[in-house]
Amino acid sequence: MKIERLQIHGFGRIKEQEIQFNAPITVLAGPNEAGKSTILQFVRAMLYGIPSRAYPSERYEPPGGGRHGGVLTARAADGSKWTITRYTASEQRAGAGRSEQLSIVKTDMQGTAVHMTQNDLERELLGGLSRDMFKQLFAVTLTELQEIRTLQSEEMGSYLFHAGFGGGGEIMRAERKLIQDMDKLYKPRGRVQESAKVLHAMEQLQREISESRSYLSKFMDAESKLQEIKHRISETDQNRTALSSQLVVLHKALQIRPQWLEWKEASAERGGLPDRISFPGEGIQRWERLRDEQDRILLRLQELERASDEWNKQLDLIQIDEQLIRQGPHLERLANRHEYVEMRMKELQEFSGEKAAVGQQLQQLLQQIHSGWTRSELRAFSGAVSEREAVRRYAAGFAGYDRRMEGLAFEREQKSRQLESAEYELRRTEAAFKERKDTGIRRFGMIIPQTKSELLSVWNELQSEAERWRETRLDRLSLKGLEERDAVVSGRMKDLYRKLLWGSAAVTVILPAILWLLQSTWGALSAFLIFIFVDVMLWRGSSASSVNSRSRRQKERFIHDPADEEDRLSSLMSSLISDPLTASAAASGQRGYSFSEQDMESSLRELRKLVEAWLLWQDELERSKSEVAGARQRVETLQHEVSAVTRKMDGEQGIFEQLDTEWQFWLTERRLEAGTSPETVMDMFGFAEQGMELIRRLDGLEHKQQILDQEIEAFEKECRMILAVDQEMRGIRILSQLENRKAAWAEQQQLLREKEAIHSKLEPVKEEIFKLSREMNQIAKAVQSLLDEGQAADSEAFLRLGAVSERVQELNRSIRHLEVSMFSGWSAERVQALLDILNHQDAAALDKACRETEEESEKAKKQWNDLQLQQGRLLQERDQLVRLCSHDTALQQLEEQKASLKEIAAEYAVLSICAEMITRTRSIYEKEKQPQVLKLASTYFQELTGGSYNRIIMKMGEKKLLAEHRDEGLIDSSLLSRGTAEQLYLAMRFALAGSMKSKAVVPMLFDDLFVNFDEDRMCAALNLTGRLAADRQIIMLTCHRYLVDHIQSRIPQAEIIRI
Amino acid sequence: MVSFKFIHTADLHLDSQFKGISGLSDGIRSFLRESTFTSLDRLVELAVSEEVDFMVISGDVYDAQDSSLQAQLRFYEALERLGKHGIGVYVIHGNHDPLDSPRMKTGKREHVHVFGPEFERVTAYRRQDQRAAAVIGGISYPTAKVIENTSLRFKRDKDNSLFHIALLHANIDGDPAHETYSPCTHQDLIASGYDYWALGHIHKRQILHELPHIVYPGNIQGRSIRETGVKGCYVVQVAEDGDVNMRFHDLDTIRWFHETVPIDGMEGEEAFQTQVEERMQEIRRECPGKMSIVRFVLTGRGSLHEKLEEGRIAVELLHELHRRAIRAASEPSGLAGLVWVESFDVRSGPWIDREALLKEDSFLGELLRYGQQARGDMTTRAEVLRSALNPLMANRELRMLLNETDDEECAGWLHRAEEMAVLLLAGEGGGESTDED
Repeated sequence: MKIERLQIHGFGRIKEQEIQFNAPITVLAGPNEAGKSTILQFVRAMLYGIPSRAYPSERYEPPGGGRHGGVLTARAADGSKWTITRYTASEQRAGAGRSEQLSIVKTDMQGTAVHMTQNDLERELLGGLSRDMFKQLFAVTLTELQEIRTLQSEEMGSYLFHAGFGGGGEIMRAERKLIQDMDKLYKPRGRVQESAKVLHAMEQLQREISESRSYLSKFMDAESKLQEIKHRISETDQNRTALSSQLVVLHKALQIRPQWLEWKEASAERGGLPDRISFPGEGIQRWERLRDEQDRILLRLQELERASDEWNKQLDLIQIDEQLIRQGPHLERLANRHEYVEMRMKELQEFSGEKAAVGQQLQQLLQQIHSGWTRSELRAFSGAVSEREAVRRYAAGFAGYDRRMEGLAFEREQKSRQLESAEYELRRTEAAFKERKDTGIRRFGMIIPQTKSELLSVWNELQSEAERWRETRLDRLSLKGLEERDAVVSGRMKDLYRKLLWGSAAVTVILPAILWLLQSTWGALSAFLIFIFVDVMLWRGSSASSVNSRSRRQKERFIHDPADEEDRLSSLMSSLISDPLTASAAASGQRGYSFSEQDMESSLRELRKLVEAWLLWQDELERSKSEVAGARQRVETLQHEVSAVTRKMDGEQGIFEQLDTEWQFWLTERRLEAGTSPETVMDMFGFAEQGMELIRRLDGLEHKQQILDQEIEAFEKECRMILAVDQEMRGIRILSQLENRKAAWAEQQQLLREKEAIHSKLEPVKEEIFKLSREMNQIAKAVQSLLDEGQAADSEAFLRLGAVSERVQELNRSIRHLEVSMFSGWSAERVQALLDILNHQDAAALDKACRETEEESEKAKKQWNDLQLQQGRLLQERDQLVRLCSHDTALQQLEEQKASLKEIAAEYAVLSICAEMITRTRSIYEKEKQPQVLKLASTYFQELTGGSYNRIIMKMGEKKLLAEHRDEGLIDSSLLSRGTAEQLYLAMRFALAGSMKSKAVVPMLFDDLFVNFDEDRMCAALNLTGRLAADRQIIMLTCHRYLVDHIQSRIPQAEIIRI
Repeated sequence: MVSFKFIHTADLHLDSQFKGISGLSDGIRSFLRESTFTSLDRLVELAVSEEVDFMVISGDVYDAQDSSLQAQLRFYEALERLGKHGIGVYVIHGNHDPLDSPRMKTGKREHVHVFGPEFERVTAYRRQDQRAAAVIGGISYPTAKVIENTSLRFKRDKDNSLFHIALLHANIDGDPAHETYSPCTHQDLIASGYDYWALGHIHKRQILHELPHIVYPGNIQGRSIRETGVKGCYVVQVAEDGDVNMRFHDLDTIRWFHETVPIDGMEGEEAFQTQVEERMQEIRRECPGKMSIVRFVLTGRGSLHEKLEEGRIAVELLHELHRRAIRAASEPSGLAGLVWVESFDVRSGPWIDREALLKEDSFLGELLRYGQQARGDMTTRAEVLRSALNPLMANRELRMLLNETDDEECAGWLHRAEEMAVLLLAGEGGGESTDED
C-alpha cells in the first residue's frame, strides 16, 4: 500500500490542505504547530475512523468548527486505487454517537469503481492490521516509542511481543484476572473459598451416609434376630400348651374319679355276660306280632274256601254242548252267507240259458264262413293284423300284376304301330334315293370324275389355270408402252452426273491446294482423298444409267408365250368333261389364243355352271342317302323295343303264377275254399271277428258259471262238514238244516253267558286265597328268620335269650351314660391318657401331680412373656430403621453438593484452562516468533548503534530484553541510556514490522523519532530507513532542519515537503 | 401357544440419586427421592389395571452401593402387592444389584422367581386359566463385573413351542456410553432362538430388533441430564400365533429436558430471561402433571455472552428461578407442573468473528489455533487439562469428581476457556468495537 494523496478539509488546525506523496520516502518538514502530528493523526483517522468525542486529544476537531475530515487516496499493491472520504457528521446528529460520513471507493486497474466497507478496507488494504497495531508499530510517535520504557521490566517482554496484537497489557491483565477468579473459587488448602465450604458439607454428609448405609445391615440383623425369637416363642408356646393340657387332664381325673369307679363296676358285670348276644332288636314284640297275623290269616282262609266250594258246585250244574260251541262261529258265518248263496244259484240258471243262445248264434256264423269250419278253425283264423296284412299283400300283388300287364299290353300295341310306320318310311326314302340317283346319272353322264373330291381338285386346278391365263393376257398388252418412257429418263440422268463430276474434280484439286498453302498438309491430304472418293462416286453414278438398260432386257424375256397356258387348260377341261362340245372348244383354244379367247371364256362359264349344278345334285343325293340310313336305324330300334316289351310280359306272367300258388297254399292252410279271392277273405275277417266276439262272450259266461259253481260247491261242502250230513244232500235242504243248527247255537250261547257270570264271582275269591297263603308263607319265613337270628332252636329258647339281652342293654346304657358324663368333649387320645392316669394313680398321687404341673406351667408363661418383650423391642428397632430410612436424604444432599462442587470445578477448570492456554500461547510466541524477530532486530540494532551492540537477546522465562554490547557484554534494556533504548525499540519495531506475516505492506509514519539520537546514529537510522523504503512507503515528520539536511544528503530519492 | 400379556421393565434404580442438581429445598428433595418409588407404584398399578399375566424385571432394581434399606423395603412391598393380584414376577440381578451385594433375606414367594448365577429356564403361566404361557430364561450377575458373554448360555428348549423370553442385563453391541458388561452382539441374541429379549442396563429406551424382539425398555425414572425424555415400561401382548404387540407406558414422576437457547441477536438480560421463562412455560405445558427438570444450553454468539460471563446473569437468573420454584413447591400440590432449572450451560461466545480471528496473525489467533489443535489432539488436550486442573487434583473429592468427567465435558470447558480468552483479550483491541462510543 502506498499513500498517494491527502486532502485535509478540516482536521485540527489544518484546513483545506492537500499533500501529494510521489516518492517512496517523504519527509514532511515544518516548524512546531505546523501540523505534522495532525497529519499523522489524520492518516490514522482516515484509515481507522475519526476517534469519538471520548478521545478529544485524538479527535482533532477543527477549533472553528466547519467540516471535519478529508480524503485519503492510496494505491494498493495490486494497483487498485482506494479513495477514502471521511467526515464527522454535522453537529446536530453528532450526539447520536458513532456517526460519520464515510465513503470508501476502490477503483481497480480497469477503472471499475466499487464501494467498500471499513472491514474491506482493513482486510484488503491494511492486511488485517488492527488500529492499535497500526498505531504502535507503523504510525509511531515518540510517546508510543517511549511508552515501552515506562513499563515494568518483567512485563516488557509480553508487551513487546504482543505489541500490536490487541494491546500488550491485555494479556497481563487477563492473566491476573483469571488467577484472582480462580483463587476465589479454590485454593488447595484454602478455608474460605466456595469449594472449601462445599467440601466441608460433603464430609459431614458422608459421615451421615456411612451411618445410613448401616441401616440395611442393622435391619437385616434385627430381622434375623426376630426370626430367632419368633422361633423361640413358638417353642415356648408349645411347651406351655403341653403343660396346660396335662394340667387339665389331671384336674379332670380328680373330678371324675367317683364316676369312674361306678363305670369300672358296670364294666366288670358286663364283662361277665356273653360278649355278644345276637338277639334281634325288639325280638319278643316282633315274635308276638307275627303270631297274631298268622292267626288272622288262617281264619280268613277258611272262610274263603267255603265260598269257593259253593260256586264250583253251581258250575258243575250247567251242561254245555262242546261241539256246538266249537262250531258256533262257523255256523253263524254260514248262516250269514245263506241268502247270498241262494241268489247265486238263480244267477247260475240264467247264465246257462244265455250260453245256449250264444252257441246257436255262433254255429250260424261258422256256417256262413265255411261249411267245414268249427270253433277251432275260427280261433286259429283269429284275424290277427299280420293275417290281414298278408291277405292285403296278396290282394295288392294281384292288383299290381293286373295293372302292369295292362300297361305292357298297351305299350306293345304302341310300339308295333310305330314299327309299321317306320318300315313304310324306309321304303319311301329308299325309292326317293334311287329315283334321284338315276336322274342325276342321266343328267351328268359326261362328267368324268366319279367322286366329288376328284372333281373339285380338277376344277380348282382349272380355275387357277384360267386365272393365270387371264393374267398373261393382260401383261402382254401393257409391256410395249413402258419401254419407251424408260429411255428418255436415263439420258437426262447421264448429263447431270457428268456436270457434277467436272465440278467436283475441280474442287478436288483446288481445295487441297488452298489447304496446302494454309500449311495444313494433313488437312490437304485428307481433303484430297475425300474429293477423290466423291469423284469416283459421281463417276459411278453416270455409268449406272447404262445398267438400267440392261435390266430392261431381262424383263422382256420374262413375258412368255400364252399358248402353253391354253393347252394345259383345255387338257384339264377334257379330263373334266367328256362332252364332245366342250372338247371341240378346247381344241380350238389350242390353235391360238388371239381368236379363241372369247370361246375359252364362254366355255369356262358353261363349265362353271355345269360343275355347280353337279355339286348341288351330289349334295341332294348325299342327303337322301342319309335319310334312308336314318329310317333304317329307326326300324331296327323299334323292333328291339317290341321284343323287350314281350319279354317283360312273359316275366310278369311268371310272377303272377308264383303269387297265385302261394295264395292257394295260404288258403288251404286255413282250410278255406280253394277258389276264394283275397277280397272274399277280407270279408270273412268281418265274420270271423263277429264269431270271435261270440266265442269270447261264451267263454266269459262259462267262466262266470264256473265261479258260481265253485262258490256254491264250497258253501255246500262247508255246510256238509258242519252239519255232518251225507254227501248227497244239497241245495235247499242243507239250508234248512243250517237254520235248525243255528237256533241250537243261540241256546248254547245263553248257557255260556251264565257260566261266565259264575266264573267272574269265583275269580276274586281264588285270588284272595292265593294272596293269603303267600302272606302265610312270608310270616312263617319271618318267624323262622327271627329264630335263626336269635340262634334259638325253638320259641322257648328264643324267649330266654330275649331276657338276657335286655340286661346287657341295660348295662351298656349305664356304662355309656357314665362315659359321656366323664369324657364328653375329650378326644380319644386324651381319654386314653386320662384313663391311664386313673388306672395308675390313686387320689393322693393325683393331687400331687396336679400341683407340680401347675408350677411348671407358670414358669413357661413367664418365659413366653420375656420373649414377647424382646420381640417387641426388635420390632420397634426395625420400625425405627424403616422410619429413619424413609426420611433419609443424605445421599441426595451429597449428590447436590457434588453437583455444586462440580460447578465450581467446571468454572475453575474453564478459568484455569484459559490461563493455561494464554501461558502456552505465550510460550509459543516466545519460542517461535522471537528468534526471527530478534535476529532481524539485532542486525538493525547493530546498524543503528554503529556496531556498539551486537545483538538483542531475550532471556527465556524471564521476559527480559538484553542488549549485548560489543565490549561490555549483556546489558539489561532498562539499564540502557535513553537514546540507545529508543534505538533498541526502533530496531525491534522495524523487525516486528518486517516479520509481520501480512499480505499488505503498510506504510510507516515516524513522528520525529530520532531526536534523541546522536549524529552518527541518526545517520545510521536514516540509512536504514532509506533502505527499508525500498520495501515500503515511509513518511517522516520532523521539525528539525538538520534532519532534513541529512535526509537530503543521505537519501536522495526522498521527497521533502515543507509545511 | 396361548395369548398372554406381560410387562417388561428394567433398571428401576430404586432410591438412586438425582445427579447434577443443587440448591434444592427439603420438600423438593423429598419429592425427588420419592420419585423412583412413585414410578414403581405406578408400575404396579399398571400391572394390575392392565391385568398382565406376569412381569419381567431385567436387572438393576436398586443400587447396591447405596445399600438403601428403603429401596429394598419398597421393592418387596411392590412384590407383595403384585402377589396379591396373582401377578408373577421374574427378576434378574444386574451390575448394580449383583447377587453378592447386601440383600434382604426374605421368605420364598410363590409368585416371584429370582434367577440365579447360572442359566435357568422356568415356565410362566397365564393367570386366568393357569395354562403354560411362556418359557422364561434368565441369568443374574453373581458379581458386579461380568465380562463374559452370558447371552451364549441361552439355549432354547427345542421341544417346547411356547413363547420364549430371555432376561439379560447386558450392553448389546458395546454401546460406548455405558459400561460394557456381558458384552454380546445382537446376532448372538437372534441366533439363540428366543422370541423376546427382555434386556436391561442401557437406560435409553430402544427396540434393537423385531422378530425376535430385542428390547431395552429404558429406566422408569430419569435421574440426570443424560436421561432426558419420557421414561417407562413396555406392556407386551403376545397373541396366540406369537405375534408381539408392544405398548409403551410412561411411569416417570419427574422428566428431564435439555433445551438449547441461542443467544444470537439477543439484546439484553430481559430478552434472555423472557426466552428462558417461555421455554419453561412450554415444558410445563408439555407435561402438566409432572415435575420437570431442565438444563438450558446457551449457544450462539452475541453481545449477551459478555454479560453471561462477566456479569454472571445466568447464575443470578438461576438463583432467582430456584427461589421461585422452592416457593411454588411449598404450596399444596405445587410440585405438579413445577419446572426446576438444573443449570445454564454456557457454550455461547462473544460477538466476534471467530473464523476471522482464527486466521488472524495475532496472539488471540494463535491462542485459538492452539485451542483448536488441543480439541482435536488428545495428547495436547490431556496435557493442557492436566496442568490446568493440577491444583484441583490435590483434593480427594475433586479428584474423584474430575476423574468421572467425560470427554465431552472437557471439550466444553476448553471451548468455554477459548471464548473467555477471546472475551478477555479482544475486549478493547479486537474487532470493530473501537469506533463505538
